[in-house]
Amino acid sequence: MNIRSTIPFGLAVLLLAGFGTLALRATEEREATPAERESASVRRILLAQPFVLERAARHVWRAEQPTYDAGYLVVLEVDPAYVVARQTEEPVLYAGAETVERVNHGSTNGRVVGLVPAARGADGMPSLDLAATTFFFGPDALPERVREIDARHELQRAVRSGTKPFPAAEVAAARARATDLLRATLGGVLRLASRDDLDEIAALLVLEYAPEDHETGTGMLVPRVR
Amino acid sequence: MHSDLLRALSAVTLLAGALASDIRAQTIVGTQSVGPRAPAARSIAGLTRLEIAGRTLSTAPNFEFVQSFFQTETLDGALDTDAHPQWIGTNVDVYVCEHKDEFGWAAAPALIDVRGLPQSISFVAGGVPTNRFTLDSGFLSGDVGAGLGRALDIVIDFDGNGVLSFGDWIDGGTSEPGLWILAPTTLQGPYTIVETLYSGGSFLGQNLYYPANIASLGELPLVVVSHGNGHNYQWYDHIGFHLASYGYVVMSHQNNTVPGVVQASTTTLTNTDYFLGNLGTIAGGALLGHVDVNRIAWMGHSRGGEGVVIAYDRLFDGTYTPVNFSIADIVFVSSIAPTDFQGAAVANPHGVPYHLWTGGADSDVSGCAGCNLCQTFHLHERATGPRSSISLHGAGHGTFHNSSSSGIFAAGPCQLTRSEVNLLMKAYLLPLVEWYVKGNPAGRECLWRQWESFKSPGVPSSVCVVVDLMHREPALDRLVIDDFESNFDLTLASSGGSVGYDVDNAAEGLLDDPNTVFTESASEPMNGMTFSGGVADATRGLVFDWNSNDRQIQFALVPGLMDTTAWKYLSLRACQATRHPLTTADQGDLTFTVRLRDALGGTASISIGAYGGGIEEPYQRTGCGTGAGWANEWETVRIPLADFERMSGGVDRAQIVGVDLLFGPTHGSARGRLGLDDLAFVRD
Repeated sequence: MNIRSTIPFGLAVLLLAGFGTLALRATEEREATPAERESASVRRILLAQPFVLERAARHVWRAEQPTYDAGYLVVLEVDPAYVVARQTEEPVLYAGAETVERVNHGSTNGRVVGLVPAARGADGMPSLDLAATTFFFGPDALPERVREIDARHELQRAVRSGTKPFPAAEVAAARARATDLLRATLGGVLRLASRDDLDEIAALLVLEYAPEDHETGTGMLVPRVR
Repeated sequence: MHSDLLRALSAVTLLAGALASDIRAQTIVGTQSVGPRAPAARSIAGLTRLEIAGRTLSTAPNFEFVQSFFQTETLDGALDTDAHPQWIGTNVDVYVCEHKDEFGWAAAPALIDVRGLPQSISFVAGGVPTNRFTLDSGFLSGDVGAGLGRALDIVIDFDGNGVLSFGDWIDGGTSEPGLWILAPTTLQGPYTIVETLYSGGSFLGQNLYYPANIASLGELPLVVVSHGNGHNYQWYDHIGFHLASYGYVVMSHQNNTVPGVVQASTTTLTNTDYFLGNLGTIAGGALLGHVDVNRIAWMGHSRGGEGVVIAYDRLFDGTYTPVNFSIADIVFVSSIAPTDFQGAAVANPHGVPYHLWTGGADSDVSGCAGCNLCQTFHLHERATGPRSSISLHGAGHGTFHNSSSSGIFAAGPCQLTRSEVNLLMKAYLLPLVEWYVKGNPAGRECLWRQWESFKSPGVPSSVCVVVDLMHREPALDRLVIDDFESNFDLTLASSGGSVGYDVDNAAEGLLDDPNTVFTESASEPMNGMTFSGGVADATRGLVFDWNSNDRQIQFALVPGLMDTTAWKYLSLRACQATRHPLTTADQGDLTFTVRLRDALGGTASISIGAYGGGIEEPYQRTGCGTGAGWANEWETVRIPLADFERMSGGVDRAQIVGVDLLFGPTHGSARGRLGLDDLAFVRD
C-alpha cells in the first residue's frame, strides 16, 4: 500500500514520524552488536563490587570534590587507545554523570580498575544501578576540572550518540564475579573503615585483571606504616 | 736579586713573627690562668691574592681562569707579567696545596705540595700567553668521599722559604679555595644505601633511599621525588641511589597525577608532611634525628614537575599549611619536563631556587608551539630567584625515569637511550643539589660552563649528546644591562642606557611563538620562542639577524653600571632562531664577539667561542609545522671581565662605558639569527 496515496500528506508525515520513533526506540532498547561493542570506548564490565565506607572520602576526580561513603569498584574492558598514559589531557572516564576514579591506566590490555562513587541508599547499599548507568569516555580533560554540570552535559552527549548501559545480565555476572573473587560478605557488600582500605582491594584487582600494570598494583600493596 | 732580597726580608719577617709568637705565647700563658684560651685568630700579612688556576685556550684570551676541574682534566696555571712586570726574569716555586682558610694558613703555613714536590717556573715577558704552565696532567684525585670537590690552593712561593709568608701569591687561602678537583659525578658515592618501600595509606606509598650508616651522619638533606602521570614512584632509582650514596635522604612517593596537577601538588605536600611526621616509625625509626627538615628539595616529573611548583605556590599563597615543615624549609625545586596546565597564577615557583630539565625529543610534553601546556620553559621563566636549566637534545619524556616498562616517548633524530639520559642526569644532578641544597660551590661551574669543554668523565660521549645550560644568580649578584623587561623601545635598554643597532630585522617582544607551528615566517619574529605562555608571562627578549656583513649592537652603560670591578662576568643568554634561513644555512654552533669600551677609548674584544662551543644549532627535529629545528634553545654565555683587561690594549674595568656585541664574518659566524636576553654583569 502506498501510504501517500491514501492518507493526507500531513498525517502521513506524522505516521511516518511515529513509525520512525517506534523504530528508534526499538534501536535504543536492543543490545549493542559485537561490532558496536568493539568500537565503543568502554566495551564491557567485567567485575562490579559494591562497597560502603564508615568514614566518608572525598572524590577528588571532580571539581566540586564531593564526599562519598559508598560506591562500586569496577573492572572495565575499554579501548586501550583511550587510556594511554600521557601528561597532557586524557579522555575522562564517566559512569553516568560522575567521573570514575581510575586506579590503573590499563593501556596494554584495556583492563581498567575504577572506583565509582555513589550515594548510600536507605538500605545502606550504594544507590547506583549499574545496569542503568552509561559508562563512556568523554573528551580530553583533567578530571579535577570537570564540574558536575560538565559531567551531565557529557552524559547527554554520550546518550545522544547511542552509548548504552551494560546489559543487566552482564552487570549481574560482574557482580557475581566480584563475589567469587573477593569472597565479600553480608550480601556481597564490602564494608570498610575508610578509603584507605579500598586500595588493597583495588590493587588485587589490578594484579588479577591488568597484570601488565603490576607495578601499580604492587606499589599499592607495600607494607603499611602505622 | 729580587728573590734574594725577598728571602732576606722573609727571614726577618719570620724572625719577627717568631718573636711576636713568643710574646703572644707569653701573653696567652699570662691569661691562661684566668679563663679559656682564645684562639690566636690572625692571618698572614702581605699576601697577594689572585687567580692562578685555569685552562689553556687555543685563542685569545689564551687562558680561562676557572675554579672547577674534573679529575683527569689538565690543571693549568697562568700569571700575567703584563700586570706584574717586576717579576719578569725571576724563578719561583709553585705549590699546589690542600686548601686552608686564612686562619688555617696562619696556623700552619708550611707549604706541602699534594703532588709531592713543588715545581719551578720562570716568569717571562708577554703576559698570560707566555706564562702558562701545567700544574697537573690529570693525576690529582678529586675523591673526597661523600662530598664534592677536593679543595686546593695554589701558592707562588716568591722567597722560596717553603712557607706561606709575606710577599707570596696565593690562589685561594680564604673561605674559598683556589680550585676544586671534582671526582666524576657519574660515579656512585661512598655510602651503602638502604632502600625500603612502605605506605602510610592511600597515595602515601613511598620509596625511600638513605645511607646505611645514617646514624653517624648527623642530619641529612631530604630530596622528595614526585613522579608523573602513568609513572610509578619506584622508577627513580637512578636519583635515589645516586644522591643517597652522597649523603642525602631521597623519598619518591606515590603521586596522584591522573586527576590533575593540583591533586599531584596535594600528594607532594601530604607525602612530605607524612614522611617528616613519621620518622620515628619509618624504616624502624632509623631516620629519626637524621633528616634536616630545613633543607628539603622537591623534584617532580611531568605533571609531577608542575605539581611541585604548584605545591610551592600553595605554601606561598597560604592555601596549604603543612604540619611538619614550612615554606622556608623548601630550599630548591626542580621540574623534569613539566606541564603548564595552571599558568602563571598557580604554577609559579616565585623566589625559590628553581631548576628545569627539558628533553628536546619529548613527544609528550613536546614543547611544540601549538601546545601551550607542553612548553616546559614557562615555569623556569616565572622563577624570580636563582634558577638553572638543562636541555638535552634527543631525550624523550620517558628517559628521565628508569623503568623499561614504560615507553621513552621520543620523536626526532639522534635519540638518547634511557641509560644515557639517566647517566647524564646523575652527572649533572650531583653538582646541582650540592650547590642549591648544601651550598657547596665546588660544582657550581657545572651549571653554566659550556658542556663541550667542561663535563664529568663517564658521561655518554656520542655525538647525539648536546646539552644547553642556562644559569642565573640571585638578583643581588646581577647588574642588569638589558633584560628587555622594560623600556621597550629598541634604542633604550632596561637599565636606561641607549642602544645602537645596525643588525637586521631587530625586534623586541614576548618570547612566545604567536601561532601553533615552528614554520618559519618573515612576519613572525618570535618564531620558535616558548618562554612565555602569553601576556601573563612577561619574559621578553630581542631577536635580530645578520647576513654575511659585519653588524653590531652597542649598549651604552649608565653611570651606575660603569664600574665593573665588583663583578666577575659579563653574562648573556642567547639562542639560534629555529628554522630561519640564516640558521639553517650553516649547521653548527654560532659565535660572535663581545667588546667592552672604556671611558678613555680603550677597547677589548673576546669571541664567545674562545671558551669552547657557541650558541647551539637547534635540535633538528621535524614536525610542528614545516622544516627542521625544534623550539629555540637558549644557553647562558659568560665571559670573565678580567679577561678583557688582559686583551691587547686592555680596558679599564672601573670605567666601562659600553658593551658591544659584534656579528658577522670578522667577528664570528658569517650569518645567523639570534635571540638575546639577560645581558648583565654577574658574580658568583
